Amino acid sequence: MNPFKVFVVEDDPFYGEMLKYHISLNPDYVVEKFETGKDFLHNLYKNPSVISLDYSLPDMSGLEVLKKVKEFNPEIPVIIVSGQEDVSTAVILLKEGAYDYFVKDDDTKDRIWNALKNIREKVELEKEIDVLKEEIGKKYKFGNIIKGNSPEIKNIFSLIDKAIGTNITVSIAGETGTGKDLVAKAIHYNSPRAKYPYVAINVSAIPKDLIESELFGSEKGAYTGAFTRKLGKFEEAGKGTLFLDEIGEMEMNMQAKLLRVLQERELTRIGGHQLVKVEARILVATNRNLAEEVQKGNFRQDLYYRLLGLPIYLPPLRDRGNDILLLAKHFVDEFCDENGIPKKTISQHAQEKLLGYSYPGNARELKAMMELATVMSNGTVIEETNISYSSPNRSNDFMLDAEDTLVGYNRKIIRYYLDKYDKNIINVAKKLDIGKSTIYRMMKNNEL
Amino acid sequence: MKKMKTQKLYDLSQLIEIVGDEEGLLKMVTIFIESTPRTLDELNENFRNKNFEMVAQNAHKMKASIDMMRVVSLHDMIRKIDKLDKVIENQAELKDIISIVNTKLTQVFAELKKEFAL
Ligand SMILES: Nc1ncnc2c1ncn2[C@@H]1O[C@H](COP(=O)(O)OP(=O)(O)OP(=O)(O)O)[C@@H](O)[C@H]1O
Ligand SMILES: [Mg+2]
Repeated sequence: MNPFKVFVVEDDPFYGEMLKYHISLNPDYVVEKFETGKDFLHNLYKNPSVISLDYSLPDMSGLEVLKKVKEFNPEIPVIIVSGQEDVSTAVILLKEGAYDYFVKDDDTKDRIWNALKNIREKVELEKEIDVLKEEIGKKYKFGNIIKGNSPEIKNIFSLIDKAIGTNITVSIAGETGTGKDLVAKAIHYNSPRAKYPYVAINVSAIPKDLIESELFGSEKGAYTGAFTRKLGKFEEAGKGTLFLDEIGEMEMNMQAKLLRVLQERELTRIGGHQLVKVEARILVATNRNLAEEVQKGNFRQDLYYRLLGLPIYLPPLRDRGNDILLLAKHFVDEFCDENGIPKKTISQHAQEKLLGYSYPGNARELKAMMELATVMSNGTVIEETNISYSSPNRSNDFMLDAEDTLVGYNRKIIRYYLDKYDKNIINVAKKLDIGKSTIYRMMKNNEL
Repeated sequence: MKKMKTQKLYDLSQLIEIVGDEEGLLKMVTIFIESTPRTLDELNENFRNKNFEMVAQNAHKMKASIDMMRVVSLHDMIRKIDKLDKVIENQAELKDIISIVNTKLTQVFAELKKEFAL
């Protein structure tokens, strides 16, 4: 723990020494004493935890010194000790950020003692919180939690980096289970807003008629059952981050209200009049194609542009090549760790089987598959037979998809057959009347 | 012993309470005997030069130490000088007060020196 450094600035050597003695009664405090403003300011670089400052120094006024301290580091609490009671000076000093103002009398040392105690407790508490936040932050250091080596995921990392440095709204898109939640958290916990709250709300999970009060809050008596004032998610997030998940599910009239709030940067709670400032950073996510929803008239174009900001598109897992295996191993390791099971590896055949699947549920589905496989496997190796696709009867979705190239269709068809025939390459090659080496080659090149 | 204490011009009980040990007390008393006469000299000098604002400031500085040493007899007087612009109108009265402060403090210094063999 860093020592709690108390600087005593006092031109009266006797009084200064007295304070030093008194404060040093607490063995955790380290006291340094200065008799002039100049001498003190020379030592300010040592960054004291708290300063006790005599208002009338021979070379400078207390106000001057206070201002210099606040310029150096506004966080350092400064207790002003004055020989004389002077209310107007006290008011000015407190306005300039003084922690407190004491008049020198018999109680001064006790008051300073108490002030130090309070300041110290606060500092300790804040430190604890910082440590906790750092831990949470570390948890979300994106390399640690968002796994992947593919060019696709590296591109995502560089976009997250860009998002962290600014306040721009980020719109995260991608199929279900591709990691949109993870990306949102990674942005928040690595941004300067990490010390403020991260508040997530899933639009699709909240009944339509409650969403407005969830977001904006409501005053007491705003509707039947509103017994107290309720803060909305915007206010809860404060200067932090508000993550609006499944934004595509929001109803049109609510979209209009949201747009207004985002434009004005102000809101009123339901049933209230008072304007509340909106300071939170906004992240949104959707697994729909929002541009398409705009075309279809289901999503307001103006809101769409407002929210687009920095778009991050998370490609489906099946397009991330070898990341499938990397993630599979990661999920197995994680599961073993969490359950105190010895580490397991994934056999070659099992790996090939994993690469042959299309993962409509993306990473979430892979995770569930690998957890089950880990449970099913007996030894230390996960075999092909331990892996079962969660959705064996894939619809021939490749027919319904948007237009694709012939090569693209080829891939989709082969994937479909591989799924259907449980990754039996010989079988698939026969059915499609192509060489099995073609399938092997495509697999090796991560084309499937 | 108790009687002695009440006769004294100062009372160190508060100081002892703060500094705790002999060593600390000695240090504080030494500082008092070194620094207060200096301030007193400055005060006298400033008074001679009719620099009343500085006189008040010097008194102001001594006030805390005098209180801490519990020189009760000077408690009110030092405050009068400190606020001289507001309280003391005529210079004659200021002169009297300053001379009493000088006498008393000189006594205090001497007694302290004797008690602590300084
Ligand atoms: N790149 C990745 N590395 C490690 N774990 C991942 C990765 N991507 C996703 N996951 C894990 O997969 C699961 C689903 O991720 P997440 O909840 O972020 O998906 P989502 O895109 O928000 O899905 P939905 O649209 O259904 O809300 C989580 O358990 C998450 O930890
Ligand atoms: Mg999600």
